[in-house]
Amino acid sequence: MPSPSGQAADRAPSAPQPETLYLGICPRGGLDELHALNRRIQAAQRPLSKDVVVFAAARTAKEALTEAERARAQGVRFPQDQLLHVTRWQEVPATRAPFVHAALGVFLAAEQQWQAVADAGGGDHAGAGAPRARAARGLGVGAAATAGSAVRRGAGAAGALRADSLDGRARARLAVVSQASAGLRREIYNHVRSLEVQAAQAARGAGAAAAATTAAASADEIRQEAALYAGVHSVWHLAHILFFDDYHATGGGASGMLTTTAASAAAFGGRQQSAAAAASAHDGKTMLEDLKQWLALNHTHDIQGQFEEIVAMVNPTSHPNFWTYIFKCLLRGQFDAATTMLELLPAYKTSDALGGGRLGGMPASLRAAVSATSTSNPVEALKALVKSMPLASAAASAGSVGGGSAQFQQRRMAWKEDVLFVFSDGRLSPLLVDERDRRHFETAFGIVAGVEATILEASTTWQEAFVALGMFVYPQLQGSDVQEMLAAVAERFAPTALLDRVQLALLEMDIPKAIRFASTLDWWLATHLVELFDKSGLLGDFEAAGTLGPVGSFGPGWAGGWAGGNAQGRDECTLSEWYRLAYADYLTSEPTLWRAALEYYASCARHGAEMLEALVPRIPLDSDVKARKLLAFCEAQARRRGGAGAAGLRAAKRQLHRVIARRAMAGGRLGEAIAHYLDGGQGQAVTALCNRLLGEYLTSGDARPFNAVVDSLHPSVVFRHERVAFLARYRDLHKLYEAQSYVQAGGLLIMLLSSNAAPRAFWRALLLDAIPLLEGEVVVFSVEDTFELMRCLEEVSARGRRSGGVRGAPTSGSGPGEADEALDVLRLALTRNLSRAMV
Amino acid sequence: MTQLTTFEAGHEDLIHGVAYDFYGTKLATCSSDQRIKVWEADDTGAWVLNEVIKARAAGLRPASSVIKVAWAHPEFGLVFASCSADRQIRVWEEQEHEQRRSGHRWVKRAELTDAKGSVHDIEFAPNHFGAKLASIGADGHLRIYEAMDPIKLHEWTLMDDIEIAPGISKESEGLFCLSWCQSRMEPQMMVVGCGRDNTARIYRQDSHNKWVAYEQLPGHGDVICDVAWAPSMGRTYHLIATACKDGHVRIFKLTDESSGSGGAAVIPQGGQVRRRFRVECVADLRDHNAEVWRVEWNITGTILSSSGDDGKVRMWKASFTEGWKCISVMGAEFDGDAPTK
Repeated sequence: MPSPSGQAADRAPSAPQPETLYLGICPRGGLDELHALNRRIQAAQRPLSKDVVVFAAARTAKEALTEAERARAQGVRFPQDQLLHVTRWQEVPATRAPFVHAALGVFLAAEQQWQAVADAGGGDHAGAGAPRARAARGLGVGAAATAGSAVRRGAGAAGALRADSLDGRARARLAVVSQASAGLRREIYNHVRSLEVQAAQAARGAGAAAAATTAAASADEIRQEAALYAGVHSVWHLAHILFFDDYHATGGGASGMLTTTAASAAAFGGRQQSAAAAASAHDGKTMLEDLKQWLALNHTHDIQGQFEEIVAMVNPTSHPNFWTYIFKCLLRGQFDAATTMLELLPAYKTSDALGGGRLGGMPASLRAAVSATSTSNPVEALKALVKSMPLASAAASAGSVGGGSAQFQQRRMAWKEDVLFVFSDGRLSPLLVDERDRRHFETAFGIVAGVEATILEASTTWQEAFVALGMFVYPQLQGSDVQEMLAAVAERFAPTALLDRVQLALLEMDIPKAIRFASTLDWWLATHLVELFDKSGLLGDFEAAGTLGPVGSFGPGWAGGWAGGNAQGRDECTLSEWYRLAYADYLTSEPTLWRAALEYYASCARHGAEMLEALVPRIPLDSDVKARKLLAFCEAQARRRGGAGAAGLRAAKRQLHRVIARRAMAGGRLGEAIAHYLDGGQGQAVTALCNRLLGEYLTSGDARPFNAVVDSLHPSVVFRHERVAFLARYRDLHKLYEAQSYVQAGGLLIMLLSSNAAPRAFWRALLLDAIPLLEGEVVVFSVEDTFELMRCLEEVSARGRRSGGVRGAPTSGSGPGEADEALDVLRLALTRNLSRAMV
Repeated sequence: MTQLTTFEAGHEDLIHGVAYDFYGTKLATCSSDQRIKVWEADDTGAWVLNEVIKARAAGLRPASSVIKVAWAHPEFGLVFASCSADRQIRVWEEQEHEQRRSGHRWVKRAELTDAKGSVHDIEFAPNHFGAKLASIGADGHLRIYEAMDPIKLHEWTLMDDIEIAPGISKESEGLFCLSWCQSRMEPQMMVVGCGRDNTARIYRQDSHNKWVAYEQLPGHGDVICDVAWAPSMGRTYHLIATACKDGHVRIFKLTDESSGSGGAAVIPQGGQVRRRFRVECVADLRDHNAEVWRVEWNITGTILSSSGDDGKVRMWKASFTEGWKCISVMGAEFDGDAPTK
């Protein structure tokens, strides 16, 4: 297919050399002097950011300079030496954040619905998709509510199609795509509207509230963003109409779009035709109607404003744009506005009775035709013609697909004959009151008659011309028609702007080209277009052929990350994932968008886990809630994936636990530290912590800090670690004392000693804890228990002698002499107890 | 690309290094004035002074420049190490309960004094290997330390001392630099740039846990000023960037051949299969056309920054088809002909 915009348009714009940001550290040409004075330039990249700090650094440590060098640099100081320049090489416009989140909400909802459809197709148990979808949702992003409701809708769709055939599943998928596309378009629209409001506020400047909401962005920036996203909306709307809207599913042959993919470029024409055929077959909603709406919504050129301006004049017909306005309305199919204007022409005013009265009894179509060809008033004729113009949409809703089409062609031909009859040479002249109106009426009739040259001449933009050609010249909008229309508008307007090129590529159904240009226009646009093209099954062949290369600096920055769709190796991923990786990377430049970035990474099957493993631990843990969210996010992501991805995410989670533990420890929250070190797989650190805690108890004799820490341990933590378990049991021992349950306390004490659960260093303390139990009225320890205690006592005494005394005990004061005394007391008590127990 | 802000470091002499912490919320600057300053980003994004640290020896040793700072992983606490021209490596930890700018906010946990010459480069090992620190300097020795108690960090043991460039005086000319391999899937490895013979080599432990030089990164025409091992992000290969005085930034790709089917490269040694990488130079970037001093990867190994004597900092990214592309440039000069100094 020849490109209407010429060969140059096919070539992707190659990224220009980046512009240099000059920091003013030295004068122009001053580098040599800078170097001679022992200075150079250096940079450091900020993690999880696009910030780079640049500064003048010392070339060589002054200690290593030669005498001459040192003499030269001695005492030379510049203020720039101490300036750190914080630069950002890539930015997301400040005003875009709400849109990024809103669009993410739609994206996630679509992912979940998609999964629900897949699950419903694969499995046979109800609601298989729902839990999976829930697991996919980790962080609570702003648009969670949207996502939630969409899950329900998704589950509903999945449920509905279980009863259906495979065709039903394809349809459900198409519905997901269509819904997502419509949702995204709504979000773009809202974004642009919101920006317009902000721009108006910024322009007013005054109000403090306005200043607060737009503090981060200047009026210029807002306007720039609004203009960019108005363009993005236009592209998206067009793509929605051409590729994603639901009517493809219900109309004729196009239902195959999801299940089959085009095998070659030749199939393109076929799809185009089927799409056009589909256009004439659903609820009176034709592609042409949609395109008219697209034009009206995206390329208005302020029709309404002009209308008001003209009508407000005392003599509207003298407005310099009076006729151009009428042409514009005709070209855009806004016939009511056009005829309203025409009726303002004083020379051609008629009484209302004339039109209706004489021809009242005839059928409507016939009446219009007759009046158009018989009236002596050119305004009436034009009015009658546009009113009676047969529309494909009306034909489609009137009858069956095939019959309606044929009937429509017939009626359209008859109508056209009428137009040509009125417009033909000699017919128009007698009707004119003023000869000066001739060329205006000729243009007006020329447009309606479908004179290509007139239409192209009267149009101000190619979009307008394209829709007008469709309306008046190619009402059936076949695939071959589109090519001719595009060729015509390209010749007349030679559009070169990026936005035009994306739109033209879409109309040409040249998906690779559309993606290439879109990736230069805006990364959000490119990423989500690719996503929905992929879900619609429209990428497969190009992906395999490797013809879908993005351009410029867009991309995740992996050499060979995406290898022409041949996603077999570990390093390669699908094209849509490649785009999502790049978009997620782009979002990391703004801390408020990190969560969105994580969600996009999370949607990447092949590389997502690795990216998350690297990024999640880098997110500052400035609150407990955030820490918990990140932990839960890692766990949810690990569960969703298997294999290496899950292992990596669990490693990231353990890393988070260890950091949290370290911070808890620094903050003196030992219980928390123990729990997180356990989850972080740091058994050794836990042992060290427990020993430290016991040691502090032994030296101070104050059980309160010890008890507080042990009481703060969650029960689930306690039995995951031997030493922690001992701490908990030892705490139980104290509780039993307090409750005066001496027999149980004694049993526990013996168990702690005999099972080797207690660290040796702590035996002495445990033994001394036995003294009160030995002195009580009740005999707590049996003969065996007493022998066990004696054995332990001897071991402790022997060790104490070897090491020259033991450290302070909790129950007595301090000092080795006293401590030995305490053991003697115990020895005596044990002997006494033995005799009591034997009785 | 924009300049967000500038701030005054206020050292009394030239700055040697600037390093962001793991999160990018703290920044340390070090200078010839023997001081290290720690900065924190406040809520508005401005950088506020946290503490000024005097990194000078207690004894009679002459005061000297702090050449570099390197942050540890936060699982070891708020910790960084500094190295100086006085041959010392010091390990510092923040005490969050102490007042900022009180002089007590950062305490010196350890002082490592094994180097015989000034220390040029230090870097903590990836955290999955524990609290380990590698250093290299003018004496041509690569040293690897490990903290005996990763919680207290007060006692560091010299685990390995590898002579990279034999027979050199303690204060040699030339630069030495190192960079750890970050991959969780690989054993301990690093790339070491040796300023004496213009080479960079991969070091890793052999079957007896001895650090040995293996592959060489070829083609350097002058002293290598910096090396940077890219985070591997689950890729099947490794990327290493080098900055060279010959004006080139080079990117090397290391592909593991011991696990592949290519049997020729597999050399059994001590009963084990010895790892062997195929080394290719996948990018040779000459844009600086003047001495290149530094190379640094971002945390996902997708963006490389380089700074050189053309007065430029360049950001590089792998593009879809055209190899490594310069996507951003920052220049030291004034824009236009401003005569001010």
